[in-house]
Amino acid sequence: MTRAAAKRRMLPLLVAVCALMSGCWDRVEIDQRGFVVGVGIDEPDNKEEGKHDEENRKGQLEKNQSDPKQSFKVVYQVVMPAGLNTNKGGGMEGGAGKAYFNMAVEENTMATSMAKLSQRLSRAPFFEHLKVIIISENIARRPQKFAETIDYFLRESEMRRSTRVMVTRDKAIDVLNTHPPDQRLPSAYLEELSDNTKESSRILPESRIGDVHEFLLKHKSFAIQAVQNGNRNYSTMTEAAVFNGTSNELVGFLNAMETAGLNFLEGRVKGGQIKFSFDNRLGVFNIERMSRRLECKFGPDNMPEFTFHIRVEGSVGELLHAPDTLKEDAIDNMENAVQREIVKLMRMTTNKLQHEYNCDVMGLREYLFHNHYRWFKQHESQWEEEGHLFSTRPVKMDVKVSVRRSGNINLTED
Amino acid sequence: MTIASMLIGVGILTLPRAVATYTQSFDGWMSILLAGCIALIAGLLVSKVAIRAGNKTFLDYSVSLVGRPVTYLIAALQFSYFLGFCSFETRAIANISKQYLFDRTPVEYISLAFILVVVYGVSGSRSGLLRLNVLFLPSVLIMVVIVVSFGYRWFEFENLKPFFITPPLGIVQGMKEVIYSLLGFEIILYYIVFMERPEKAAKAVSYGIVVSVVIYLVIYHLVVGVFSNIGVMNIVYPTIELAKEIQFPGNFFERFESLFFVIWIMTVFNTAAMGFDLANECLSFLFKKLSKRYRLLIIAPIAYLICMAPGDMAEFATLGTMISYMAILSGILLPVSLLMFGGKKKKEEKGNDKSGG
Repeated sequence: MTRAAAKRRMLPLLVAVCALMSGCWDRVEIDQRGFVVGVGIDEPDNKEEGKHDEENRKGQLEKNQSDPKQSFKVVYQVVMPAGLNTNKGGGMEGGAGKAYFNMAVEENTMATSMAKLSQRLSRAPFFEHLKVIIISENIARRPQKFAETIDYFLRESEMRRSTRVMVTRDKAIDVLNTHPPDQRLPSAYLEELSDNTKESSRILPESRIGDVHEFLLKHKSFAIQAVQNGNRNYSTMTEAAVFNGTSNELVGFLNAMETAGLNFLEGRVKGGQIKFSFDNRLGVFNIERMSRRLECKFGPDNMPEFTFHIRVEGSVGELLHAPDTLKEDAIDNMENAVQREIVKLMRMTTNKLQHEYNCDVMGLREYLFHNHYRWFKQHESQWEEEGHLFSTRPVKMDVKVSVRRSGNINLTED
Repeated sequence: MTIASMLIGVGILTLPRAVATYTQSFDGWMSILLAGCIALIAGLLVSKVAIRAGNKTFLDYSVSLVGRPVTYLIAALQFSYFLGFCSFETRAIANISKQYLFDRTPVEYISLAFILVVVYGVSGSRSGLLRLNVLFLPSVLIMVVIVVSFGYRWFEFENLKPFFITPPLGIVQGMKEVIYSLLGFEIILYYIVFMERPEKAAKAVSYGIVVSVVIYLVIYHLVVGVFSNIGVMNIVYPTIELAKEIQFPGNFFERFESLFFVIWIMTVFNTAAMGFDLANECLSFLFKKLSKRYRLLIIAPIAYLICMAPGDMAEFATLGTMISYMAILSGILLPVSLLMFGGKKKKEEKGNDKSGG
């Protein structure tokens, strides 16, 4: 009896618990989320805006212009799930439309631009699947702007530190509008493109926002992937954007060859081809493996001299009018030719970095910090800024190439 | 087991940052090791007190040594320490869950829910609580192993260099931070009653401390290797960020950190529940007439109020240091002085016996 009574008394409590304790503050149904997969940051284009938009927009623009702080034009790429689904159904020509749309917002800060975005979208923006952030050159060149733009993407808890950051010479919105035929989402396309380091030595390793954060904190000059807008169907990623470590602003770009050189200097080549010529013949060398060791000797004036020891292994990819590729001296010849080619690449890069940009992207400063701390502490301020120590340091290249295989065949024609 | 899971609380999430702030490059490992040694010595001393107390609870033992009034003082001090400890853990978990899991749920509500669960856990039998520890600890260790083995993908040995560049003062400051995270072994004073063979208490304490020091070292070296020293300094919860970085091959399980949170909240629950339980124990000594239910009902609101008192991160940190000081006072200094006192008394007794005989 008492037990039953107790049980009966418990019942209202149970009901109350069910009613009051359940529920979830943060519940957002998955179909209510607007998945943001890419973000592009441009500087606002004043002319166009003025032409197209209504008056209140204009008023706002004028306010922005009178404001000494320049604002950003932030482009969000949001997934449209419907577009993704129809593709699976197989309707190729049905043209169910794009799987994404881009929406541009002008603001001074990222967080408020996000807020503005949610004023326009029916679905709450959701960033956990953010794949790429593209920053246009004009923003990155301005002092401090670069760090300002990525602060929000580091701070917000939805963000991951593995989001890619890229710089483009063109407009970020154009890059985000690239529409490759085999991919539904430009952002996913860009992310996968940035991973293609195994296929080409001219693509920098992917630049994750977490790494960029560390570079900014360390005041290290760094290079990140730069993307170029090819045409509607493709973009290329064979450039590198060089940032100065002290001012944290973009100072310039390395072209494809120089990027390859930088990859060699940092020992991060995973694959790719080297075109070489010897005896007026053209050949292509496939890189399979490489190792890199940096050596530093202190001269009599207590200044360091650097030597890059680089070992590359690979095979013959293509030979036009080949000599006997199985003969010792032919192999030696090819090895020397490839070696000259690689040294040339690295020289190009070091020349540009040392004399044009004065930015130590290739990791000499890091090396000194890690291995010659005392010396580094004494000369830290003179490295890039005042003393121009970096630009006057001699750098030697010691490259050894081994051609391991010649492929399936020896000669094509005889 | 119990000791280890008491020690591994919120500290594991913030410790790398605290250590990295005071030391340079990878030198914090010295801080962690040295602090571990100090904690080990203190732990051995404290467990000696506990062994000496034998079957009696710590407070009863201290009554026999220093008399009732002083013991009341000790009990009050211990009570406020354990209470503060419990609320600190609660607030910490609420803060972190708010940051990473519940964007819109108010912190107040998260901590309320957590405290209610803790109250429920404590109102059961005490040995059940201890058994829960034994249950949870292995999963924590497995989690650490997973984080470490998958985190190594981003590990750069270069980030650990150069060695030995921190001035001694920095190492000492780093040590201070580590010791805060290693406090908590004084629970042996109370839980020794549950041990089958109390004489093994010293071994259990040192085992617990060594396990936590090893875990701290492993996490610390990994975090520094991945984020580099300066990166760790500027990431609020480095360990969570590390867990977020982990991606299993094949995108099969992209959100690893959710699992990490589950396991980790379990341990913090243990820590908080033990703190709560001991606060309850001390209160029972102060007010013998109250039944356990009333005691819990008294403690819970106080704990909740303390936990909600700090307004921002800075105040919260102040609360943390305050509690750590109290821990040093009530957890180490008090028992050790009791030990000295007890030793003296014993000698006197012996002397008396001799003279009497």
